[in-house]
Amino acid sequence: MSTSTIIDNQLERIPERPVLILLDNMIWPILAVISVLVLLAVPRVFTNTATLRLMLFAAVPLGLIVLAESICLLSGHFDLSVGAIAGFSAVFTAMVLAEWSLVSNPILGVLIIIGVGCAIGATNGVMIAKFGMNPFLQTLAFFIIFGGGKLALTTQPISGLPDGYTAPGNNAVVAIGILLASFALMAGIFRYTQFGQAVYAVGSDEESARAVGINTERTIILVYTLSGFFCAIAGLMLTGYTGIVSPNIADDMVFPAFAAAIIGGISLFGGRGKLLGALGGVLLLSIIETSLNVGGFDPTLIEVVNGIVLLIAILLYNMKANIRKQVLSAGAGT
Amino acid sequence: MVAGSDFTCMHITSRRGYLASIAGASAIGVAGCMGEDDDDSLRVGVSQHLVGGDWVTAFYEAGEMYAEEQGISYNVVSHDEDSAEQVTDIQQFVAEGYDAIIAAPFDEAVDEAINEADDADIPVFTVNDPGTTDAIKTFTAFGNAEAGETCGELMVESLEEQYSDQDEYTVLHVRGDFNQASNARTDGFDEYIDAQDNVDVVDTIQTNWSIEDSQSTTEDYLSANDAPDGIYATNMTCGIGVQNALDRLDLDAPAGDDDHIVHTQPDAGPDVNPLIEDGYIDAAVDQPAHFYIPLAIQQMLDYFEDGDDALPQPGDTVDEDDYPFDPIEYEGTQLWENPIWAPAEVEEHDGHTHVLTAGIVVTDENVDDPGLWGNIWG
Repeated sequence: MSTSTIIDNQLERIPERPVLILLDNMIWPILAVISVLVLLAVPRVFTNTATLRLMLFAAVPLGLIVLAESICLLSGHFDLSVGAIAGFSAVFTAMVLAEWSLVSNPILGVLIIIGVGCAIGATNGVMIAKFGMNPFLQTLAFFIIFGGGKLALTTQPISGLPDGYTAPGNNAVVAIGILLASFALMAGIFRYTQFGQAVYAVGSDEESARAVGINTERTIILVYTLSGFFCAIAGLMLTGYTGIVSPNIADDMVFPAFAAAIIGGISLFGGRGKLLGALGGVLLLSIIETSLNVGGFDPTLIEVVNGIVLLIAILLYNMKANIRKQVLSAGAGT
Repeated sequence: MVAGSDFTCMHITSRRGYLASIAGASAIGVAGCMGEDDDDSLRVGVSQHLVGGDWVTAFYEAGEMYAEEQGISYNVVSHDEDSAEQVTDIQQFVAEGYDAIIAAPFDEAVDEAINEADDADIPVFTVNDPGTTDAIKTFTAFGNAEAGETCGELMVESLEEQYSDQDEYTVLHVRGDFNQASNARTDGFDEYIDAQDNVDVVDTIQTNWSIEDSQSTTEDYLSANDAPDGIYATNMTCGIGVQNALDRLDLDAPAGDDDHIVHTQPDAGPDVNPLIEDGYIDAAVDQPAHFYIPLAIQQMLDYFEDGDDALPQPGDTVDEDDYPFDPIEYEGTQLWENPIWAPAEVEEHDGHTHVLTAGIVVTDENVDDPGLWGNIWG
C-alpha cells in the first residue's frame, strides 16, 4: 500500500474518532441532555444555588460508595457489601467514640473508621482471591453479617460525636471536595499506574492476566481493600451529614451504587469503563431525583421513574456496543 | 466504503432522532406530572414515609385532600425510611424557600435539619413521629407510649376476664424495628406490664412490622415454644401477621373460647377491624390518622395569622371547637365529620408542644364506627 493511500485511509478515519470518543464517554452527553431538560422543566434545580449545592452535597456518600463498587466491577468482581461496610464502620466507630468512650480524639476516630472499612474489604479480597470464594456469595454474606451487625451494636441513634470527627462530612465544600478528589485520584491511578492496568487486565480476563505475570491475587485483595476504604469514607461523610449515626445508616445503598456505576459506563462483566463515568452516573441520578422532588412530582412514582431511567441507560449502552462495532468495521473496510 | 459510512451515519442519525424523540416526549410527560405552584398560595413541604399500607394511605391522602381544600401548594416527598434522605429533603425545602414544613421525622438525625429550617424562619410542624428538637412548633399525633400503656391495661383486663381461674399470665411481645414510634410503643407497654405482679413478658421478638415478617417470626417462635396467654403486637400489619401465624398453627380462637389467646395492639384498620369484630383481637388503640396532617395545617394557618400565641400551649385541652372541620364527601362517607381525634391533651416534651390526640379503643362494641379511618379507607 502506498504512503498516500495510507494517509488517505487515516484521514478518512478521522470522523470516526469523535464518535468512538463519544461512545466511550456517553454518560456526559446524556448528562448534558438531561440537564437541559431539567433546566427547562424545573429550572430552579440549577438557578437556585442552594438547591444545586445541596444536591451535590447529598450525593457525596452515594458517590463514594459508587466509586468503591466501580473499582470492584472494573476488576470483574461484585461487592454487595459496600453499603453494609459503610454503615457498620460508621456505627462501630461511633460506638467507640461516643458510647464506649474508648477514644475521644477525632483523628483517631477517622483512622478507626478507615481501619474497619479496609479490614472488612481486605477480608472480602482474601476470601475471594486466596480461598476461591464466589464474589457474589462472599460479599452477600458480609452484606447480611455487617448489615445486621449494626443492630447488634446499637438499636438507638448515637450522638455526642466529636466535632472534629463530624466536621468533614458536615461541610458541603469539604465533602464535595473529598468526593471529587477521590474520583480524580483513582481515575489517575487506574489510567497511569501499573496497578490500574492490572485491574483492567484482571477484569478483562483473569487467566490471561495471570499468564502475563500479573499477581492477580494481590490485585484482587487490593481492589477490595480499596473498596472498603472508600466505603469507610462514605460512612464518615454520612456521619457528618446527619451529625448522628442511626442504626439504619447506609441501608439500601448497594442497588443505587450498581445503578450509578452501570449508567456511568462501568461494565458489569469487568475490564471496561472509566471511573469518571461512574461519577457522571451519580450526578445523573442526583439530578433526576432532585428535579422530581423539587418539581413536586408524585412521590409514589419517583422510584418508577428512577427505574425507567436506569432501563434507558442500559438500552443506550447496549446500542453503544453495536454502534461501536459498526463504526469500527466501517473504518476497517476502507 | 463511502456507502457503508453513509449507511452507518444514517443509522446513527435515525437512532439519534429516535432517542431525541423519546427524551423529548419523556420531558413533556414528566413536566406534565409536576406539581404547579400558585404564586399566591402558601407553599408547604411535607416529608413523610409512603410505605406502610392502608394506614399510610389514609395519612397521606387526608393531608393532601385537606391542603387542597385550604388552597395550599402542597409538595410531598418520601424519605424512604432513610434519615440522610429526610435530612436532604427538609434542607431542600429550606433551600427552595418553602413557607412551612410538615414532617414525620424518621429519627433524631432529622433534628439538625429542622433547626436549620427554624433558623431560616420556616416553621416546622411534626406529625406521627415527634422529633426531639425545641425548634419544632408543634407535634400532632396520638402518643405512641400512651397507646402502648393503654394496650397494657387492656391486655391485663382481657387476661383476667379470659383466664379468670389463673393468677398469673404470660405474654409474648412482638415488636417492630428500632425507630421512634416502635420504641415508644414497646416502652409504654413494657413499663406498664413491669409494674404488674401477675403478668410476665416471656419473650420479645422483633419483626420489621410487615405482615410477612411478623407472620413468619411469630410462627417460628410459637412452633418452638408454649403458646402464651396473651400477645401484644405493636402495629396494624404486625397484628395481622400474628393472627395469620396463629391461624396457621391452629392456635387462633375467638374471645370466650377456652383456647383464645388475648391479643391487643395499637392501630385498628381495614383488615384488623374484622378480626376485632370476630373476637380474635380483643382490642386495638386506634389512631385518628386522617386528622394528623389536617390538624397540623390548621395550627400552621393559625400560626401564620397570629404567631406563636395562636398555637396550643402545654396544659391546654383542645377539641373540635378549637379546630373545626368541614366534612367533605369521600368514598361514600363524610370525611372529618366525626371529630374522633378530640379531645387532645397538650403537653411539652423535648422543648416543644405535643398535641396528643385521643386514641380510640376499638372493641367489638364500636368496631363499626364510621369515623374510624379503617372504615373509610377500607
